[in-house]
Amino acid sequence: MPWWNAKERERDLERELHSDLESEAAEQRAKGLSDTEARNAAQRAFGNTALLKEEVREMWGWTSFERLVQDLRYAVRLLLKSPVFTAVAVLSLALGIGANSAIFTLIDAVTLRRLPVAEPEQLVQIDKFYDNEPGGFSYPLYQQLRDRNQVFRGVLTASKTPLRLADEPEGEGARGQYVSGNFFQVLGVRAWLGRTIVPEDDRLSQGGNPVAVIGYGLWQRRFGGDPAVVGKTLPVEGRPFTVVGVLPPQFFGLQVGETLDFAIPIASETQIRPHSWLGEYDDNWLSVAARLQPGVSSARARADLNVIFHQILQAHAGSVQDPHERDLALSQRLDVTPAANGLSAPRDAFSRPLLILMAAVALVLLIACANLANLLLDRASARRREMAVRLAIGAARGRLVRQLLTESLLLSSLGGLVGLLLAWWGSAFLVTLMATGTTPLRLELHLDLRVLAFTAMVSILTTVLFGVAPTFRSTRVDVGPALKAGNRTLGRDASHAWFGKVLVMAQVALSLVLLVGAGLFIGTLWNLRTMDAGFERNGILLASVEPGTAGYKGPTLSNFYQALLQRVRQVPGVRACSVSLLTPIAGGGFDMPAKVDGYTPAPHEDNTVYINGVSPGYFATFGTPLLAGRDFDWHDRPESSPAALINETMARYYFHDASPLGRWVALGDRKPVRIVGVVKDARYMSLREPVHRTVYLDLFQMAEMDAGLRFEVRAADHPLQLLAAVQAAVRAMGGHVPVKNETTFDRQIDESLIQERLVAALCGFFGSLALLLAAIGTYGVLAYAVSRRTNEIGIRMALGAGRRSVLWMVLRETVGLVLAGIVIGLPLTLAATRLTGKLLFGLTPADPLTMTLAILAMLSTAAAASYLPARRASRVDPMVALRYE
Amino acid sequence: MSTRPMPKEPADRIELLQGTLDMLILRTLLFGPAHGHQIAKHIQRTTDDLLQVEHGSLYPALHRLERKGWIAAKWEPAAKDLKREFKYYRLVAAGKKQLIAEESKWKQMTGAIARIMWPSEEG
Repeated sequence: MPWWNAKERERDLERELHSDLESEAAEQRAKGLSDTEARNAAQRAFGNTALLKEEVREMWGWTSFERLVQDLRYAVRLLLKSPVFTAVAVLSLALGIGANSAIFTLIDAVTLRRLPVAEPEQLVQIDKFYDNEPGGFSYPLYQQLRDRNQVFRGVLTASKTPLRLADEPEGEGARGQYVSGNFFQVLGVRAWLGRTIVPEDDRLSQGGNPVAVIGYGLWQRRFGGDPAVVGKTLPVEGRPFTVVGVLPPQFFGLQVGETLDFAIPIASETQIRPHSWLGEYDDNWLSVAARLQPGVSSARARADLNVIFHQILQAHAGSVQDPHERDLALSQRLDVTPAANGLSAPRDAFSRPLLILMAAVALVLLIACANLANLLLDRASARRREMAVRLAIGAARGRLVRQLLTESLLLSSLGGLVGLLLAWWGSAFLVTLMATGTTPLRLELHLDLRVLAFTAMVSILTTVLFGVAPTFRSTRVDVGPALKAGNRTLGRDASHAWFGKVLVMAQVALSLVLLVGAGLFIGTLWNLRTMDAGFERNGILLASVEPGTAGYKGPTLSNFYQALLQRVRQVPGVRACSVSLLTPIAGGGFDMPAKVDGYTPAPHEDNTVYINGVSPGYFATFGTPLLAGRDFDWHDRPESSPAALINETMARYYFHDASPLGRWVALGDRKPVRIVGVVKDARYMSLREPVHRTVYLDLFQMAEMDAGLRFEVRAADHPLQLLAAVQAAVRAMGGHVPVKNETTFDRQIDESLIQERLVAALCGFFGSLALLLAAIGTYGVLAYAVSRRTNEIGIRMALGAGRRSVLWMVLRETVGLVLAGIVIGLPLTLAATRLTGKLLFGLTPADPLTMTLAILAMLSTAAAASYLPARRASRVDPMVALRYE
Repeated sequence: MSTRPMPKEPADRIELLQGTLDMLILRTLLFGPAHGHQIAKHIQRTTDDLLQVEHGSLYPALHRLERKGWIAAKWEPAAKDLKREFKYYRLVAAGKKQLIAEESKWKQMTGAIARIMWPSEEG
């Protein structure tokens, strides 16, 4: 008989016993016994057949699987019998596991993933630092570095700002890059179909081939994966480019978080930009990466490259007039860092908040584990009697432990499973949170199985440690006393009670850290949203109007904008409108060294001022009040004396209490301009920056009008309702002038706060989660303590204690625990919040208000959690309680 | 696995040494195939009810021997009553070898014990 055929063997044994029993009975009948007597006698001779079967089964050793099924079935029944316990335990586990995996999946996607290129460990990223700020490279600088270095096998470059396809919408449309001809060769990426861009496509002298390679995603999306795509046309920025190849699916470009949809040779830039930047030393629009020569370290490459870089800087330093500017220019340096994981702007922007979130979820995991431990501990003590009974009727100790282990594993598997779902859903949700509006963030998310495994292990260990160990220990006690003792007094012994209290204190301490952290980030967001930034945020429509691409040039540009402004001002619902080089909080800007009338700078003093070119009506549109003098008006003509407005900070810095009106300021080596007004301080590139000294120039007086300006409209009502009217006005001007990047000002500001919103939202979520878990923990410990002390409470009440004093007695225990937790948690919190550093705005890491609120939240939550057990204690009927014993 | 002499007082119980029941079963099957009940009856009858084999020990022992490959089992109709089937065990070659080995071991042991217990008789 085959050993694996357990069922058949079982039947076989049944039959064998039955037939032998029958023949025994037959013999008894032959001795003259009645039928029933004979049967009973046979049964007696055979003894306990169930035990007999069990022994035979044991002998065959084929029951381990069967036993597992049996244990599992029992465990499921047991878990279903206490649904609240099961739900809380599984949820605690799931949140701990899920949150960790989700956050780590994200960190992994942003920072840790390797580039899908040949030998990624040889790749390095080259960064240029100007005044300690990272910046881009100009094409001439790239050329020199590429041609003069001895340390790289190849140096590649790609543009930073994305290229568009003429027929795809802004924002969600395809994004492309200019790449150097050697880009794919240096990376070692081969075409999936056709060919990649090669150096021959990138001949500057011939203006570059109008060819493009497209990403796998774009190929699928736009061309439906058509194998005959090579030779088709791609309208890059409105110019026809011929597709020569498709990139492999796993290659998403060098920039982590972005997808490279298409690439064109950098030399073809001359065909797209009216004024090429390729010859400009001051246009820093490229990022640079390189592949190291074998055996060269990135440290050595850095040293070598900086020598070359300084020679280049020296050669250019002569043309810089301002001594401070020259110092800064000469102090530039290059950094060479391994780029095996890709060049990552998101890494810089998000890594700190992600690390903080990682710390937050680690805390959540700890709190969840403490919670679980507490729950299991209670349960384990409650089951000591059950274990004693089982031992008394002959269960083997090992068998019981196996049963308990099965239960624990079932519990943690359930938690892990739900956690997996949470992680899956959570990390995708996080990406959508991070990528709103005009900056799509495309990350390849792969659930990090290592983290999942790690967190699952931690949770399983917790389950086993706190679920099995106490119960197992209790099975060692003498069965007798355990059986004799009532369910209640048996309970949790003193050390268990003590341990439960420690767990609650730890939970409170950890929760406090999370709560304060959440409070600090929410406060930061609140401060940024409500601060007086020097402009009104609501009711402003923004759009880019680019007559340059429709062929307007020179004076016709100026006429175009003036006519457009006049037209839009007539639109009903428009309060004010203007054009400007920049809008506030758009993340970009211009600065220049300034010379100011009557001000003698100290040597090496920083005289950089920030600049914006605006039309009349700009300040009215943004609601920035004029403090002195006048706004620009239409009498400021190119031929009249050039006018400027300055902000308060600049006025105070250079003129102190004197009036700046009528004085002059000279920017760079340009002609001086007369100051005609002072406006209130307004934030420039971002809300977080301090206010810069700022000069506003009259756009229509500037020597060269920009071909693409921002157009802003203050609406009486909802700004986006005016979009159609603005578009119609632009159309009416003729010449097919594109209107792009339309948004509202408050949305633009909101987008600049993505990171703050993300961190505040998630920390808030984790904080409340921690609070909830701590509340459950407190409730559990207290409810247990009350049920254990029912007797004592009964005696106290019998001796005359009032309900109120009993209530207070129980509440006092909670307050004591929570206060102890807070006392432990405060120094922890102070140490932890120092990590937030620059991420905060308008408050310090030890903000007293946040601390107070967090402590109050903690106390009131604990009080709420302990109310139920306390009320139960106060309702104890002394007679019932005393009679029980 | 213990057999006990039935009619005797509890003090007179004979505890069978480990493995003895196995040897007795193998020896019984040397006469030919038998089912579990027959084996138990045979041991009982042959020892004049001194040794009574408990079913709780017999069946695990039978299955153990089967698993070790010393005996084989087959369902066959009873010789007396063809309508009823019993599970007949029969000795296979490996079982015979095992029986010989156990027998000689048993002989050595009883001999050794006898020499200690009754040295004079050994002479």
